[in-house]
Amino acid sequence: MNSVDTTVTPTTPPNALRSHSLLRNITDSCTNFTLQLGDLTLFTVQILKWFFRRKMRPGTLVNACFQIGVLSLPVIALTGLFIGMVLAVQSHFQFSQIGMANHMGAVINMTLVRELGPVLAATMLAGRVGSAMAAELGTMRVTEQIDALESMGINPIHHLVVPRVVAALLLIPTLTIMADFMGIFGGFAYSYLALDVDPHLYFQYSRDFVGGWDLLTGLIKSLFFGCTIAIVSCYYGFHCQVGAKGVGRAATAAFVISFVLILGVDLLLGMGLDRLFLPLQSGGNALI
Amino acid sequence: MSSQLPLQSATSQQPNSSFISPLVEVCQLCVSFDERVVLQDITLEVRRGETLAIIGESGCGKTVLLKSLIGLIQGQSGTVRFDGVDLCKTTSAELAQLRTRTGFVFQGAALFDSLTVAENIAFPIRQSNSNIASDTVLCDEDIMSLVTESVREVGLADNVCQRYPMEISGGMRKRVAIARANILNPDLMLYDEPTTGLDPIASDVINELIMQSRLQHTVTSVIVTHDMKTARKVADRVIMFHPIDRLAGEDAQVIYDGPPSLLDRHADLRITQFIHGEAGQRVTELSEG
Repeated sequence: MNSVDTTVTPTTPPNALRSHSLLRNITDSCTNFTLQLGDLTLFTVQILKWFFRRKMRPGTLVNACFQIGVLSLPVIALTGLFIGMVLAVQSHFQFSQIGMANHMGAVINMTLVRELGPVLAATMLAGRVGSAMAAELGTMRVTEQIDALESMGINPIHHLVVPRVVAALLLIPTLTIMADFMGIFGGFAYSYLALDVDPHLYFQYSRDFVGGWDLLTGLIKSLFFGCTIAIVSCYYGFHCQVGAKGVGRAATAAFVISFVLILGVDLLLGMGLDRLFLPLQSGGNALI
Repeated sequence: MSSQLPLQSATSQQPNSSFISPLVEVCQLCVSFDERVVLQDITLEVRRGETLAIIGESGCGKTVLLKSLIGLIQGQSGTVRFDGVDLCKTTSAELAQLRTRTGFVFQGAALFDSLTVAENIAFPIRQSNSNIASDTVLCDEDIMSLVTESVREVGLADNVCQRYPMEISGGMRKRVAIARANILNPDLMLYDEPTTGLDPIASDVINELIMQSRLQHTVTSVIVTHDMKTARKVADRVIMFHPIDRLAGEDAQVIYDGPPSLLDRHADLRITQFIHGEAGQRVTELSEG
């Protein structure tokens, strides 16, 4: 018998290999996600612990407030102004076709205070403040400045993270009010000056449709967004990998994860708050 | 204040040193990162007032040991005692308190780049001010005079105080880091490669400053260095580590422990190659992977 072996050795088919590799990737991703989530939760617990355990040094809080609040004012004002004007352009195009151009104030202002103001302000802040926080803390980690703090007996979470989270929590709602105000102004200014909408009717319809609860909804959302941005950014900065690449990754991850979480939190709060306070909403407590 | 300790051969000239408890004791310390073992069964003592230099190839775990001495890195097993206190069994508050008795000079100086030189040096004082009773708190004027004195001690001009770390040279940064680490008169000073990246003169200035800090107050020092000149000049005792992955069989990771003067007479090829900076067979080993 010819000894040339024509039998095929049992090898795993390429498709099976591919699905095995895919399965392993999915498992690894899930494990990593769970680990990071656990780590992030522990990090948040540490922040809370140090917030209640020891008073912050006023200097660190003031500096964080300046970085987060004052330096963000121009970009937030500009963002708000343009959102308002863009909404005016888009709404006018739709509303003028059905002869309701004077009603557009209600839509612009409702959209601004409930949704676009807080979300876009938070997005801008995630980009400006969040990435900066992650990069700053990441650089401090890479250059051993965080180790230096620890070597002096100073807890870096208390010294570096708590002031940033508190400043974000205090100032992001304030910046959101700024964005809302500038958006309302931008929408009105464009509608009145460029689209020739009646200013009295513009605000009359706004007052009828936009209530105090709508404004409050936006502010509650911004509190959560501020908290999310600060914690996520500090977490990625704090756990930065070595080198310039590590700092870059931390800054990118801080923005991307913050942005995704902002959208997720927005959805959840949008559903939750409306259900919780539906009776209040139906009261129609007009504010504007 | 002048030191009670001579600069040379402190260990041999302390008659009762065996009766004084060591300031730092490391017992069977093992440290690993993921699967990679960096330190294995390290046991050593640092006596009070002694200056110990730790030498060895890059990646052999010198900095890891230095950070373990004040609990910045936790080992998987073994104990580290600082002044009789087991760091693994202390609370975070106790550990923080112990760390205020140490000064750490990091390899890259690790100055806070958002603060000026003066603010960097004053930082440990301001932090300790916030931990003590208000009647013993130092006022700003006192702090600034301490800072100025400290800046002069490390040989820097007063006008450096208002500059930021990025605006001064590497050697100046190291000197500021030494001033910052020394400002609270610590019991233990840790130096991580204090002369790396500096020119020979700047390196010698740092060596002189390390010796000078011993003259000012009784301090125990541990210096991690590659620089044999530093080790010979400032150390009473030298310990040499060898990378775990290049150890043969059951060999210990510490391959030398003794005075710097005996390093040259040692027969171990690994030691002689290191102190003379000779590659030997390493080039072939590296190319063979």
